[in-house]
Amino acid sequence: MAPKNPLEETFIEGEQSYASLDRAIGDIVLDQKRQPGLKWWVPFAIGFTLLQVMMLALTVLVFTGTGIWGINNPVGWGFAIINFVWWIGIGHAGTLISAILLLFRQQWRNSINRFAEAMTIFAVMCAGIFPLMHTGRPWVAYWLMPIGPDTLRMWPQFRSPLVWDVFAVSTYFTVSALFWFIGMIPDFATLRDRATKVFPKVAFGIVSMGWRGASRHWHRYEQAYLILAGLSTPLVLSVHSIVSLDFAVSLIPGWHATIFPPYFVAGAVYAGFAMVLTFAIPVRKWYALEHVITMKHIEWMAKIMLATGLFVFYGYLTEVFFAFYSGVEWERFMMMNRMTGPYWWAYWTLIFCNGLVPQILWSKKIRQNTAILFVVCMFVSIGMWLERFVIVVTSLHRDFLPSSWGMYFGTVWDWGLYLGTIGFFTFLMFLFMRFLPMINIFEVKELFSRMIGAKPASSPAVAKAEVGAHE
Amino acid sequence: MSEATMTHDSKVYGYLAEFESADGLLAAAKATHAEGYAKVEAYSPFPVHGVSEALGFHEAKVPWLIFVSGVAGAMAGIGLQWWTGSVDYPMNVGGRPNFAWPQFIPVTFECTVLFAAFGAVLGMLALNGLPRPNHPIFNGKRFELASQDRFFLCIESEDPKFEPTATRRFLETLNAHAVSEVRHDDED
Amino acid sequence: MSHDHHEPLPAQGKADFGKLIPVGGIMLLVGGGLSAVAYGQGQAQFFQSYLFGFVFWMLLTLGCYGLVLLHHTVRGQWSVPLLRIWEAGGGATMLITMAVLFAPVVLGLSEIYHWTDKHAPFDKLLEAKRWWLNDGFFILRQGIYWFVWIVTAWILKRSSLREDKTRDTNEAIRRTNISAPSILLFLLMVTVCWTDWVMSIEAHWYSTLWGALFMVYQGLMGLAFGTVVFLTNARKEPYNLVVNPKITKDLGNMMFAFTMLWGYLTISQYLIIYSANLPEETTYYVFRTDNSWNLLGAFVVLFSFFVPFLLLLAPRIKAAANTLLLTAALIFVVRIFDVFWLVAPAFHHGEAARTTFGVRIGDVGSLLLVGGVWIAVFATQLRKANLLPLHDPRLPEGVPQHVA
Repeated sequence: MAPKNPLEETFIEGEQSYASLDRAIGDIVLDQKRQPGLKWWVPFAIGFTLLQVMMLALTVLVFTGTGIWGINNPVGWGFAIINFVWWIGIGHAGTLISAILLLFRQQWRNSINRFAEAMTIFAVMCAGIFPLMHTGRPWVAYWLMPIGPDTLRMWPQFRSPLVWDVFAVSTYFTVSALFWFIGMIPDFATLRDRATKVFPKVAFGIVSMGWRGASRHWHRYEQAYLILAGLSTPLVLSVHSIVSLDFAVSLIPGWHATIFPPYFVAGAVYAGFAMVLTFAIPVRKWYALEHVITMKHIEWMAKIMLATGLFVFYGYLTEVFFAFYSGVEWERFMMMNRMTGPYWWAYWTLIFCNGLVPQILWSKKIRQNTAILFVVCMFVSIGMWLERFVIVVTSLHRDFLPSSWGMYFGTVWDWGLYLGTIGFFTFLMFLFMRFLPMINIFEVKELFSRMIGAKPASSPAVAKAEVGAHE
Repeated sequence: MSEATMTHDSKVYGYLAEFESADGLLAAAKATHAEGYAKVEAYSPFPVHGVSEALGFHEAKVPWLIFVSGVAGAMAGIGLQWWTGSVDYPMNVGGRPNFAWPQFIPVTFECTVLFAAFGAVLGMLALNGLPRPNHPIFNGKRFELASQDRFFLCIESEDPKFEPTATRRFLETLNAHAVSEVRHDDED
Repeated sequence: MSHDHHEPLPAQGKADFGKLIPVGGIMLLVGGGLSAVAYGQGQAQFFQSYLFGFVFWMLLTLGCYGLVLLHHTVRGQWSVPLLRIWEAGGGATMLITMAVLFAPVVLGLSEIYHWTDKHAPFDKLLEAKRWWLNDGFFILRQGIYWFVWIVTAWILKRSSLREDKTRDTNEAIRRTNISAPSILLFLLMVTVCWTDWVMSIEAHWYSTLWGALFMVYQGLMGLAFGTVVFLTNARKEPYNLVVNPKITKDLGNMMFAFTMLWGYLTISQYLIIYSANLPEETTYYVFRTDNSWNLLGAFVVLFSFFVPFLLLLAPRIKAAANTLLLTAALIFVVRIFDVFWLVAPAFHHGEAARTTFGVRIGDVGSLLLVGGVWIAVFATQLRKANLLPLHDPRLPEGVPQHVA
């Protein structure tokens, strides 16, 4: 054995801490006794119950048809589109946290990225349900894909934004899932090696794909992971931009606005960070992860919420300004109708939730108060849902022809499906927390290794190599 | 510790040195490379900056693979939209041209990203030879710690410079926590 | 990744911006001459061309101003060496200069903006826009813009200079507290000021993306210009002490991000207007793709997006000062064509609502005229203060001693 290095003393702390990180994160999965008991079961049970509501709403929908929803003429796009946009938006924070912060080498990303990525995937799953069901015949949904020759001798209409959406959302889901999975492979290997029972050992052994932490593997892995992050960033922008184009390329006042792509993206990030915080604030407490998801993370997320929220508010202001600047009669009518028409309550509640409430985040004290922050996040989630409600409903319900004006309200099945997807999401999130490492173990360790400082060990051979390098 | 075989044993995969820190591994990797060993691999629970380069590994195939996949995706995307809309089934929609290139940008972009992402993931796995659930290195002593809190360096027996006693002695000069033999067949 | 320490490049003398002053002078003389010729050819042409030169340099001024706000708000490390460049390019003195240079636009208001014409045949849309587009309110708004910009720029610069002397780090916090809300105000004012100056040339047309688009134009110009000034002096003191692969990489990444945003917003606006195909909107792009304007547009898209995108994708280009300098210079120079494509087609109306392609003598003249003044003021301003904020804790260690 090599002579004991005097510098090793410092690493004993480190060694213990690599292991303690493993214990803190990895063993939550392996040792079910470490699960927080009722605090896990109660939200899980709520999620599971609401999931049954979703299943019921979907079953009735498939057997009866979209007539059970509140959609009508002129409001043909109701809850289905509102909820679709809402869920897709929520997913975006996950990708942004992972990808952009990795590119900008922000170390605070490490402890929340996995969690946020999981959120992305589950949110996109919830989102996908709505347009799929809104087609009316979801069993032939594969017609949306370009597999024409074998089915209809027809092709999707590539000049339609709805087809762009199919490509955008399916690409987004696939790439997010790949990114998530790739990020977990080394952690699966850790769990495989730490597992004592046969089942987790075999299961994690399979999904870890035989990862052995070889330096050449890490070399390629880091290249692939970084570029994947680089690809995901414009992908996020493109997905919500394309969602916004569903509205913006049309002629409907209130929909046809060039600000829509960046404004939708900002709104998505805003809502997404609110959702990350909604889950992170209680979970870090229940799972005793306060030293990994620190107040610094919470505060940063609050700051990003404030910044994106301000851009969203700017979007509302430009809509108002240009409605009046444009001089176009229909634009002005639409804006007046939003503010003073039958749905005035939705518009002003939205301004209150999205525009005014987040302004308290300017205060550092409030950014560090998790209870208030949690409430602000609730407001933002509601506000962002109302934003889509206002965009979809108030733009359609009084269109160019006053004789066809009408009102729109969701039915019990609309609400059931919406709440049901919230249950579906909660259900999946809590399953994830129980059975997968919710924090990226290897990145936290890497961060830790840099924190404990880099002091080169020295031995005769090393000294020789260094001399050789200098020659 | 002292069961080292003095003769060259074809069942020996290599010698494995265990380190307690990332820096110990990095220094050892540099020293091993400087000593002239070529078939060397380092193992760590997280990517240690500079180790693969210290072992003389500078490959950049993955980025190029991703770039090529992305270009292929872009071609596939634009090709699909051009062929279906302009050749196979041209249709007048709102008087727009059959090849309405501005409206083909979104799908082309998505196809680019999709193909590039698959290029990244499948390319990385294929170049790494994964999935491969079994590998001789897993027979190494305490190697299960390579994914937890220990760092390993293995000089493989296929290395032209490999010589059991000398290699082992060399590894012991590197401040390793322990040095052990890795065999192709698991004897535990 | 690791905290690499970079040895400073050997100094080849001190960075000297004094020689820029005669360059500005020559530009001013040539530009003035050309503009005088243009004035002789016709007042309308002179004023319309003048707007182009003004818009180009005003974009740069507001870009520098906005980047100062951004720097103080996010307190990034990468922007510290460029702070003084941006303070010179978007400071109070420069803003006052630009306010003076705005005078010809006000004088030529009726030649530039057809909404000022009160005797035009009845136009329903224009009538509906009168509340915003009228001479009095227009002038009043200009006063508000410049007042806010000049005051905030002056306060921030003063605080930054005071920190150099007193080493009081509370100044940085004070600047953050001013900058963060100022960015918000800036975004709102950028939206309306560019609506006034450029969008209202074609008074029927409007696009809600305008403010965001101009934020990106400004950011791109300020970044590229700052990088060019910084890296042309990479081997001169004190810049040689802070030029390293990390900072060039960060600057390259920022330009990359803005190039992506440029492409993203440009195509978003085009795609939405193209797809909806509304008569009052498509005219904007019809004018800009008529006759040979589309070739200029294609050139702009190629060199504003595709070429810088591919260049900045390569890590090697971002790691070296020389290659990044060339890329930044390309981005900056292409902005001339970009802004020309944005502004000029509106004035080149030919027969039957078609545009004719052409560069007028006044276009070149105004670019040089305003630019000459801009560069001379920039150089004088830059010479007034230390080229690096000396006591900024984010500067690499050892820099202040070398400089002071």
